[in-house]
Amino acid sequence: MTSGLPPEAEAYTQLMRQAWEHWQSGVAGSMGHSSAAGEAQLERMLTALKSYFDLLESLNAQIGSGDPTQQWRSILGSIFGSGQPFSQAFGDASTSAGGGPQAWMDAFAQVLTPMQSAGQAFLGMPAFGMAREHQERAQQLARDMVDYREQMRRYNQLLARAGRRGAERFEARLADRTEPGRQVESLRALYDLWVDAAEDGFQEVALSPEWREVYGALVNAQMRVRAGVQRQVEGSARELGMPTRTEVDTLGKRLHDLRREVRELKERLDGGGAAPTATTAGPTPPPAAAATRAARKPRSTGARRRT
Amino acid sequence: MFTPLRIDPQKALAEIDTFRRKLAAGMQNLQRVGDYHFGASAKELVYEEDKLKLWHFTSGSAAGRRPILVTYALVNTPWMVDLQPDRSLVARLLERGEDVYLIEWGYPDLADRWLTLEDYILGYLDRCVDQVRTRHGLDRINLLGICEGGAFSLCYAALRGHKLANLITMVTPVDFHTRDNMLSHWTRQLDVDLFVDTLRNVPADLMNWCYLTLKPVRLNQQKYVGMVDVLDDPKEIENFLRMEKWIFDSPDQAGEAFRQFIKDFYQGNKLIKGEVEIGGERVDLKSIGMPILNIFAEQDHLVPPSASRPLRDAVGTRDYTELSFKGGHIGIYVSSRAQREVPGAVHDWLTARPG
Repeated sequence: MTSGLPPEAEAYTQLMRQAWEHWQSGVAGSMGHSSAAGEAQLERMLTALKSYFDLLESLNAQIGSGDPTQQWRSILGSIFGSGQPFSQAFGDASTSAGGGPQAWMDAFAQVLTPMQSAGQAFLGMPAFGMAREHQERAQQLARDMVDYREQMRRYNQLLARAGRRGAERFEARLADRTEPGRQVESLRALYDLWVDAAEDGFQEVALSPEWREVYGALVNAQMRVRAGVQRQVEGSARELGMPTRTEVDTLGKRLHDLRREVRELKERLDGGGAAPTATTAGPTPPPAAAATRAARKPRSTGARRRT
Repeated sequence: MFTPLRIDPQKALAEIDTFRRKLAAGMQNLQRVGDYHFGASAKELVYEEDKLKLWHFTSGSAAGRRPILVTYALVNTPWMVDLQPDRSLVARLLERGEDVYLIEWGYPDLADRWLTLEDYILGYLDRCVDQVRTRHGLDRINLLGICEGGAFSLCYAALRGHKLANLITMVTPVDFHTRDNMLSHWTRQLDVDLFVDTLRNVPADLMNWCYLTLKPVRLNQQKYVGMVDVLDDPKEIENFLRMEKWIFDSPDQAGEAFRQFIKDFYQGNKLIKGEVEIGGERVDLKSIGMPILNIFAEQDHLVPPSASRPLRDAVGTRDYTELSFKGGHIGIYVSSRAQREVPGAVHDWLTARPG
């Protein structure tokens, strides 16, 4: 494939690409990130730089070969034509909390697809006998996975809409710069203008009531899948006589409550806590904290477990 | 009518060449980069409890000054206020003769998932305040709360105000339901009970991902493109990497405290309504009668000024001062403008209010 550039420029572009690849591999090898999160962040950074580099090359090719009066419209196409600008910036929403649902979804894809094509009825079939509870839980998990996939689809649609809004804003901003002295004179300025437009477009969508609803539904759907998988894993662990997260949580909760009670008892025994030796004048403190504590309502620890 | 683009092909080629050269230089500089840890000012550990540490900065000469206790948000480490010698709110306060303490909340693990807002505010924070009061033999100290730590400080001031002389809040949300508060907008329809019951503690990576996607292209791409501009400057690379480390070296969130903060503050907007309860005690901002300095950042996308400004009418004090800073949520601590403007304003305001 040729870029339309003269041969010497083509060779130059090739040289730059090699330099980029050398840099990319060098940085990746030298930064020594060990955690999955660190690697993901490094990957994001490298991808961002590569995207920018590719964009520069693409823009340069068009500027070097096209009709100047039509350039900006083709540039719009080159930036926004291949999809929407947020897919790379976002990565994958489902991998953000340390992996999980997307990997599970990939693993279950072969099961889910026929389930979806067979319709939801299969997942709502009543269960019978000794294994009915197990079957119901498995059906619920499958329904949750189907729902998660649907919520992800809605979310991606909104991201695509944000991309289109960004394109409209970008076009409007470019159209606003046709006066001498306001024209865009560098690739970087063009890129920055695009980023501003993309963010404006995103903000318009992300502050909408629809986004709020879809975003909430997506996170809730992901949590239902996670919780369902946890239940299945815990069930298997119990079968094998292994301790489970729920049991550890129960112990932790009891210990936490016990520490509170001990601390409160100590405070009462100490008469409400030690007061400092005052050396400066100040307003008289209100009644001691212990009195306030004694009079207050019973506290809730805030915990509310789902069953 | 002209075309909006006036890019000379030769200049464009030169621009790409510059980009390439900076990348090449950057690889060498990245390999040579030295230690870029944060925490610049000399300090001593004066109190420790569970994972919490209370630090006292020792490099100042603070004779006669009422100490300031800095309480940061739970969502990052507090070292943004002492990132490096030339970017340090703490260092600039010490230079002016202030006596500064700092709470480091630590990194909660799953054993800490049951910590509630009561544990943080009426437990840890209150005991740190008592430690500082006792060390100085004072009834009342100054409290400086930042972001979520500012919201904690407001709750504390409403419930234990007799221990405080002055309150300073920085980039602190008070009204969580203003139209431009994107973070709040996104949390409104989360099922927080399901969320916390499933995750238990909220992973730092998830929190960071959420913050990055508030400005997805700017924070995931443009920032790194901008980094290339400084790749040939070892000192600037170090600054960039130090900031990166601070951003991503963040603690998980203790589940129960997170549950209550999202439900009551973000979803219910109960702080400004006077409906928050901490450990069974109602937080009434009108009961805060001490002098307040409220500092917010005009370009703050996490806590927009519209979320901070309502503090003026929500509190009972008649001595309320606002400082509007031209910058963002992070720039208010580390930018050169911040170094010039913020610590001096805090020091002057406190000097006028010796308590």
